[in-house]
Amino acid sequence: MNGVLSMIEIRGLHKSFGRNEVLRGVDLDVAAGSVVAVLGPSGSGKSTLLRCINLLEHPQSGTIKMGELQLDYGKVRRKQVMELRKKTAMVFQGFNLFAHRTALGNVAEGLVVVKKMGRKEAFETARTYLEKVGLGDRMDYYPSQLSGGQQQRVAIARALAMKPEVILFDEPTSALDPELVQEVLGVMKKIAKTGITMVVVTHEMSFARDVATDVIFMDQGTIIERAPAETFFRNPQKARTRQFLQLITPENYVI
Amino acid sequence: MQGNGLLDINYMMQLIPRVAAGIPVSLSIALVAFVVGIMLGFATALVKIYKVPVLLQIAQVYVSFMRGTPLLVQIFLSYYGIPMVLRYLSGIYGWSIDISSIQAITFMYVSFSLNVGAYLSETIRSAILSVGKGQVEAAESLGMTAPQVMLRIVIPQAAVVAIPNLGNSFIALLKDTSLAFAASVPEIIGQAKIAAARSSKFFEAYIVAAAMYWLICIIFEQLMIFGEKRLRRHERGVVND
Repeated sequence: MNGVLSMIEIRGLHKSFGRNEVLRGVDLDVAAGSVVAVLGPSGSGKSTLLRCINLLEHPQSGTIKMGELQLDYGKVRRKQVMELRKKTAMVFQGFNLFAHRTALGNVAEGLVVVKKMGRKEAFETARTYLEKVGLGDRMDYYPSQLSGGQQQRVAIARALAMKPEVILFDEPTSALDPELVQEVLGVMKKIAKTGITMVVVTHEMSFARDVATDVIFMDQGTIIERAPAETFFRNPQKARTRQFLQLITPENYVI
Repeated sequence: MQGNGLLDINYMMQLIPRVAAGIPVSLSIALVAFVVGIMLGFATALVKIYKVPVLLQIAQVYVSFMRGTPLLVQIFLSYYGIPMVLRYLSGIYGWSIDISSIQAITFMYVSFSLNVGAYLSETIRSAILSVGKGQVEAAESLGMTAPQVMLRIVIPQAAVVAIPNLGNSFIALLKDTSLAFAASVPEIIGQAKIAAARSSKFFEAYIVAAAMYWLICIIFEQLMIFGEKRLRRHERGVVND
């Protein structure tokens, strides 16, 4: 990692669902403060990789190191799961807001329950984070009263408020109407500038190119190629990567 | 005696206080069984959802038995069976409980609770599963423990879903308590039967009993409608744009 402070170090990650081996020995390094975009066709294992980082999926083997916390995926203890989750936060494709809580309640929930913050302080903190994502006027709305883009911005505020060391984004714009994608990407760009470490599974090539520091390309459960974002798009090394980029990059659309 | 009409209205009026003496008994069976049943049903639902080994098999047999045998038979089994088992056990371990002092209504609490628990386990299980897996994962990703996720995220939403079904179950339970007379527990039907046995006016007595069940059920239905409205009002908390 060339002397850069490492935030996440994964070695030899294997994950199967039944007989289906989804991740076949993945090594992943994420430097502190970097924004890593994970690209790949569907079924390549990129979402599963992300969900193994905060142990929403339990891999069969491998190790992960995050700060001082080091654990062996094969023998995880509950306490370690909790520690790992407190260092990370996640933004989901389907937003996954708590339906019975307002926008404010959603952001405050983790502060009250996990961080043991007093209610008043938690709601004040929640307010500042909702303002950061541009939802100062939607604090008391329930998720069902918000658009997809607004819901996802609440979800981002909920993640940010926990002050995690790493934020994991799992296809955060894939479930949005096209005209709502930009408001979410805009917020993500803003966050990226604050220097927090981000791992983003995405299909948004423009985000990967413009915001990510590094790009990882995955296929069939392994990392095919990894490069600084600029190099990755300008000069992809592997044939499989070039094939993928040709299919997905708008400039190459042939009518 | 009957003389001038189909029904002896005067006699029915006299019966009202006597039959009404059974109301507290019926209500106490229904309320105890409902509260214990919800707890049992919740525990059973969790065992089924998390597929806890051994307990899952026990839960399956329990629910299957309670749904596959008549409630009346269950009442007899606990009324005759529990004292026998207790007597047998106290013989072995030298306990000094006076089994004959246990009131019949205690066995009703047991059998009705077990029965209701089995039925409610499915209601509660489906209510819990109606809360999206995504919300559970979101709560977990924030660092909440499993009990925190259950208490803060799942139960408040599952409760709203379960309430109409719980209400139906309660009404059904309330009427099922009429079977307790078979174990000589003096609930509403028991009282009506005793009175009618003396006067031979069974029709009148059962009409009075029916009216009482109906009235109680109407009262609980109204209470439930009110309660559900309150819960949903809180949930929507409509904010106008």
